[in-house]
Amino acid sequence: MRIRELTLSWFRGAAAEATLPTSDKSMVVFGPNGAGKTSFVDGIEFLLNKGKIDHLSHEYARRLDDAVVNTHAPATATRRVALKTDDGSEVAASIAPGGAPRFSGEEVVAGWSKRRVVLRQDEVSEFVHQSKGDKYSALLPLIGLGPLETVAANVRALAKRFKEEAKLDRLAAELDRMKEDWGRAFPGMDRAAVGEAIKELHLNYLPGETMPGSIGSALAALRPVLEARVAGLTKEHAQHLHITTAHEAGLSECVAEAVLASEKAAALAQPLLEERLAVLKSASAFGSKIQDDDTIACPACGSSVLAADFNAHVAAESARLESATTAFEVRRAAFSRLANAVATAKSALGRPDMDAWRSAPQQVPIAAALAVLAASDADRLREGMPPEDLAQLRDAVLAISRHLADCVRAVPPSVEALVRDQKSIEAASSHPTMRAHTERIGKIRQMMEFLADAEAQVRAEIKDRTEAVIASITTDMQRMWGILHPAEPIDQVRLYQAEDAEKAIDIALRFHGKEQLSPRLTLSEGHRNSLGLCVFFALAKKDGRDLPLVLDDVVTSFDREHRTFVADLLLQEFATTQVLLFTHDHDWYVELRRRLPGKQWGFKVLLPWSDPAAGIRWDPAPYGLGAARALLDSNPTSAANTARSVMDVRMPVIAEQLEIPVPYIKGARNDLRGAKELLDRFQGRVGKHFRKKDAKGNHVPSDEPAVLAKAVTDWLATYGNRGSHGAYLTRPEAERLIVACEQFLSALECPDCGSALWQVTEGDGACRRCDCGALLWKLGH
Amino acid sequence: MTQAAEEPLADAPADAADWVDNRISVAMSERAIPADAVSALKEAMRGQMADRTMPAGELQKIARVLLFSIENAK
Repeated sequence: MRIRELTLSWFRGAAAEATLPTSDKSMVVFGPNGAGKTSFVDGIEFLLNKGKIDHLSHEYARRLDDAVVNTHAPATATRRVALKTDDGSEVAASIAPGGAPRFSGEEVVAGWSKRRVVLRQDEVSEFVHQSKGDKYSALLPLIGLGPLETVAANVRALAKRFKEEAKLDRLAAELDRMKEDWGRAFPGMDRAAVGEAIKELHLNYLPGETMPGSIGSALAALRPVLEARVAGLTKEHAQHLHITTAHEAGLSECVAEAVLASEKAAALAQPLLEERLAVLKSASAFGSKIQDDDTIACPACGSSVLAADFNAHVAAESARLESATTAFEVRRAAFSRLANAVATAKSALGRPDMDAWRSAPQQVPIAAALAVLAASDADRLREGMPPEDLAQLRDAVLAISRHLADCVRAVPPSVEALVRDQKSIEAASSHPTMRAHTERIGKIRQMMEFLADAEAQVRAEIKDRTEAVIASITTDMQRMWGILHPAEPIDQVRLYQAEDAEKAIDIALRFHGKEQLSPRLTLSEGHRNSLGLCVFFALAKKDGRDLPLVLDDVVTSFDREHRTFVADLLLQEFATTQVLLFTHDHDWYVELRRRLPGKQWGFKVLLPWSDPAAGIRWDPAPYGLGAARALLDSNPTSAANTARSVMDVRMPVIAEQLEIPVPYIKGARNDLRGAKELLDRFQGRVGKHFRKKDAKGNHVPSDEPAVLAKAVTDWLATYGNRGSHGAYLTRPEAERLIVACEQFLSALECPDCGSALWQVTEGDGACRRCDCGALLWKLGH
Repeated sequence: MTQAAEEPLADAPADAADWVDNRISVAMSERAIPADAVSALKEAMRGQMADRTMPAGELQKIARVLLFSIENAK
């Protein structure tokens, strides 16, 4: 499918209307910086990406008026992007003032992934610069594995959510507490011994009663008896019971553990962050420091260290991270135990029958500490606590703990025994709950293992499929790299999945015979961008669907030679694909105009953008001189300079195509001929080489191009030199120069068929003819 | 070239859902996961999981269904 027409109305840099017609051909669009090229690319992305333009989205969120609409769009104006395809279908988006876009015909571009269709300069370099993980994220949707990655991410999120919903941490903490109580009540005893202990309690508290047939029945009989005994205690005894319960909660041990674990975790976290940052900075400098003998110049001290030592450093960092993870686990467990202890003590000391004890003069020293305990929230405590809050709780808990220890010493022996027995009954009674918790936790963990396994299986599948896709595009990548970099000692470029990470893809290559696992280590910016292009093009080829490719200034970092190879690549690999190529590089535009076949390619030039009301405008004048004309009113001197630079680019192409010989100049100046020198030599060749059909159909000599070339030469000498040497030109002077240039270039263009002698690519080797044959230029001497 | 590489990339979304569905069925037979939980998970995966990152509210609903199913499993 091809793009037939793209129309912007008050979108980005466009005013009322800016249309890019393609006639279903590929297009090269030249425009100086800010002319509006990217507005067209943004328009396409807006339609393909459901109203989102990635490189702007973080700036505007949903406020489309602030970003994608022309800043001076009239309130009532239609703001719209529309794209017509070669079958006459149209997809469009209208943006109401302050509102969300309304789309129509979205099905026309269904399946046109933005990442597959559009490539921008910053994305090419960004891709190669990205981490392995980011490359993975960028590539997966392109190779059709985005949905599986989404599944994996959703399963992981579901597992986390499930764990929260099941309250696994809380259940596990409760089970731990019950096990601890059991251990204290029945130290080292098996179930049979516990049963005997319960029977003994039954005999003690219910003498003469028949021993029930089961431990559960015995416990059921014992509980009310003990509760009645406790209820029958004097007020003082009951208080002692609660004090003992609070004391045995182990507040001071738990808080000490939590403080220690917290400090250890905090001590690990801060330097860890700082050192991780340092490692990242070092790693970024790594690429430029590697040397031929497998050593690395240390980014910090400059000394040379073995690459193996660097790897050891990385391994040590990994161990450090694992240690930090363990420390945080220990901290979590310590806080959980502290929360249990606080809950027990708070419950025991906060009972209504403890009111008198709390307000007694003996408790005045710990009144503030009791208030802290009463205000504490066990559930929040389980999640951790800031250091200053923990310090406050620690002080309170330690004060209460010391005070309780003194109080407990005064507990009457009869109460102490009753408390112990009641705790044994409670611990034994918790057995069914412990069993239920254990069973429930087992089920929860099994489900979590199932989800983890499901995610692992999805990821394994992604890995397998990615490997297969990588293998299948490697041949294309390497062939394209060969076109862009013929006979260079960098080869075997390929994507690979890194083994040391779950989600990681990088680019490997052979650099002067040596394997490199990252292009960042050895390649220049331009070569890296070449790699990015090869990956994008190879994926487009792999996709196999006949979708357009939209390339926005993707060769900015390429030198002239490699830009030429990009044209070769497009001709060889994408001859039947529609390519919309936007560039600000005038030299390259001229080269492409000469090299790319007119039957498949169209060419358009944008005028410099002047103001929001004028918007994006096409150059109505041929040869790019419209840019010079556009400056006539505002800056005549600049207009003349622009005309001169246009001629400086055009004339070498004309001289090369029409085989106008120039004497060799030693050094770089040989390739830097000015328009004036070439125009002088052109004039001398016209009489012998230029022919034009007369009314009778005969090719006759004409000196018109020579006369017009002389006019350009004269005006360049008069005005062009002045303009480029600091003097000012008037509007009529600059216009005179521009008109002379236009007339000269027109003289080489056929008025009937419209083709220019220096742009035709076909000929018999002896001459160049326009498409209808009316104009002719004899080649050779 | 493997089977996966020959599959048309454009069919990936539906393919992903089918693939996950199939794998969960296999996992169900290999583990003692209640049938209700597996059905809920499959339904969620088929309908949404391959299309987009699911919001917390939807994940919570599925998590609750899974929890209910394991709590009530015989």
